[in-house]
Amino acid sequence: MRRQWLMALALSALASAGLAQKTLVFGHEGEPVNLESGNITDGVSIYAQRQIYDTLVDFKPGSTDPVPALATSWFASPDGKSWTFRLRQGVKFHDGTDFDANAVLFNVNRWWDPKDPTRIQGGANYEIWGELFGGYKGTNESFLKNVRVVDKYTIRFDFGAPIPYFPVAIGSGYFGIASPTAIKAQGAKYGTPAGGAVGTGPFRFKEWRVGDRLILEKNPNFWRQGLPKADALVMRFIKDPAARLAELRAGSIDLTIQIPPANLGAIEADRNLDPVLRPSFNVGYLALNPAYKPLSDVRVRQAIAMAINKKAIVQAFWGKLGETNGHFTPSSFKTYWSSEVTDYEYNPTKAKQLLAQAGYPNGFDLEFWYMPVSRPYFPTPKEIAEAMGADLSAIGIRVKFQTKDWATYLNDRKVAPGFQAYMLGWTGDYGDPSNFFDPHFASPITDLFDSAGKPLDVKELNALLAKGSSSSNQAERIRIYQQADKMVFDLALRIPIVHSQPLNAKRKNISGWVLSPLGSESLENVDKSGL
Amino acid sequence: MWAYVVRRLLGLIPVLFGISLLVFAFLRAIPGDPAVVMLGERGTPEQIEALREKLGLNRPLPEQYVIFVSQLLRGDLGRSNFSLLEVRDLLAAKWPATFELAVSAMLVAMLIGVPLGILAAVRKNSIWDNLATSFALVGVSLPVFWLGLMLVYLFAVNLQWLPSGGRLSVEADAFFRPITGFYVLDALIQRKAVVDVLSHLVLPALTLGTIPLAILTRITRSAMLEVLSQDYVRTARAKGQAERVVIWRHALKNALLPVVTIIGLQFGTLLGGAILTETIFSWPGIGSWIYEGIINRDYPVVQGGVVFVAFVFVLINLLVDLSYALLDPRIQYR
Repeated sequence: MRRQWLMALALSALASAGLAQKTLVFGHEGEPVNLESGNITDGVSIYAQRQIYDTLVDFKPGSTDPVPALATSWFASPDGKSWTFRLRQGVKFHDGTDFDANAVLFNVNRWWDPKDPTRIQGGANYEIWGELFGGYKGTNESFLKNVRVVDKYTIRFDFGAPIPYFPVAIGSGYFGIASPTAIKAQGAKYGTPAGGAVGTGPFRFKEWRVGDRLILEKNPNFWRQGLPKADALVMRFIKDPAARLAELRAGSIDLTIQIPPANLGAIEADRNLDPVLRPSFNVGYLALNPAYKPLSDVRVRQAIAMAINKKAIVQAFWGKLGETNGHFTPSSFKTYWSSEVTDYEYNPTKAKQLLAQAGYPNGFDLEFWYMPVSRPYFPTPKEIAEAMGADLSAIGIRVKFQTKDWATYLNDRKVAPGFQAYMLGWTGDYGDPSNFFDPHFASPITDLFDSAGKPLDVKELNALLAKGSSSSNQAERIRIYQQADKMVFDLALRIPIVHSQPLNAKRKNISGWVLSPLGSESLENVDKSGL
Repeated sequence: MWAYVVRRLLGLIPVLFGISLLVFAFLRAIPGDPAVVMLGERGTPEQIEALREKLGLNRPLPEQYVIFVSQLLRGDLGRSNFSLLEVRDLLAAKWPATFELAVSAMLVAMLIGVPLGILAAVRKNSIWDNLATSFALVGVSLPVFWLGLMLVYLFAVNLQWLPSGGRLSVEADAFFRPITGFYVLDALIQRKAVVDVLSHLVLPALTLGTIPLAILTRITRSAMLEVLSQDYVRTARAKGQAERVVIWRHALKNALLPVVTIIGLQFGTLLGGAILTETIFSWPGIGSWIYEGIINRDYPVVQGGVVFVAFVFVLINLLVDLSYALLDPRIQYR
């Protein structure tokens, strides 16, 4: 009662001030690190940036298919080594300056060129550029060799080798195009609470209250006509998922992300709420390290894959929110799946036989590492590990559970000879299979080792993946990644356990929220009724 | 007395120096490299090395410590590894929230705990005494996290009387501006959103205040009981003074001495230990911030945060010591 009274009071004050009425309140899972594009790698920041910036390439809502955004079209040169982007005309940044090819060049140089004078010296190092595109200007590793303005609305990127996935990668949420004027004016303060951020996106920066909320308001000059639908967007930082759900139920937030899967039933039962699923774009896997004796035998690894009742485990821990199959990539990449891959059937008897063939009729001891933190792909790692361990003990593998705190876990798995068996996963950055395969299987694999304790090098797979990430022929790439799919399956080095659909939720009066598999989406289409 | 204050203030220097060394050493003793955590699932060895260099983690430990302390002496707490923001700015943004919450929790504890303790002592072995002591027992044993969530479900989700988290409603954003960072104060200055700000304080203050409330009840009760059995109380009664006067004027003043000590200590604890409450109520304070800093191995955040909390803690202790003089004339400062 009192809350409603408060709301009425507040609303009347709003009305009298003639201020925005349709305010979306988004329960964010944390506070952005920074709002400077290209200078962050965390999903929380990207989600916030996605509302302020546009990228050259966008994706069809709910899918990984590229569609025009700040670039209206793009094409590769015949040899595949250059990409040219035609840019949208008449777009303005929030500060009123024009968007054009020079603005794109400015942003790219800042990310790519360590000597760029506008690179901000506050400790930023633009690591994501190096991660996705080999390295920085002036190094041999850099894929990009040159970038130049062709005319006011055309920009061209030249590479040392064909980069077929460049448009989707440059379209990922890391690379929002920021206003050069604002960056020059703010210097090291750009992207921080004091300096704000200026893009061309649906919402413009108003205030960032540290530790509490980010307040954005509608961009009245947004180039997509009639959007955004809301007048303002407030992102409140609520780290605890239980607190986010409570606030959603209490109605103090309208929509929120990253709810633990166990809450699906409760959300469905609440007549004010709707669950909203994000299409799966991740994999949770069990890595088996061939540096250790029994695991160096592929039969042993396959026996383990057969012994784990993946279907039952996924049903128990994810319910409707997870699917299991033999593919390392999620179903967004179905085109790249091999038809020869059918998952290892759950068959303890056969698994036991395989173990016996490999010379371990009585099983062996296995150190099994589970993650100390919850991730979308493994929301409750310990319990899931125990379920897998129970299955393994049924074929005589005596599991010893181990864990360490997250920092050490991430680190020690890469210290030779690594963990024997461990759980980990991956969420994709952009819609290309190389983004799933390369970090895990392109040689040398730094978190799996050979019997000599050296980073594992699977030469045949390595060559295949190298071919895949440079071929500009789409049909050929499909063939290559289908082959890789099959090879990865047969090797059984990382057994895919689950592709999960992260759970999100909204109030019933919120509409138009289509979730992207890529992890963040613009809220420009989200509407609120019954205010 | 002023000489005493100056001496105590000078005494802070070695204490803070020791704390800086301890927090520095403990942080480095926790396994897990900050660069690895920052890069998460995806870092390659080269990237990790580059980041270590950027953060100065590849320097020898003594050198890192010297850098930290010399910065500290200049009032520079460094930058958060994660947000690249100045720790000083982050502290300035966050500590008013924690301070406000801790004061409110302490008020809850004092305004309920002390009278309850007195009541229990005066009516020893009565039903009131039993109620108060069992309440105190339950209070200290309640898990903070559970209590907080129960309060949220009852008062915010089901009854919808109070907000479930944050410091200010989104509706109030439009007309409320933070000035000092102490929202209650800011609301009073602007004469706006006062109810809104206060309503956001109720549940977290209750949650955070429950344990000190229970402790204060027990301490007040036992201190009162001890004083009530003293000769001068008996004398006062024998002189025929009204019970009210005996209790409030003669007994309470002397019983307050240990109570004030506990209030001081508890308040210090609240400032640093509000982690769970701040998490449940998404309260943007330093408790949850330092906690996250530890998880992320954000060395500058933890170092700066802990040194700051320690500083406040020591300062409060000084104030407690000074307040003794007001309560007990026998105590002299030299």
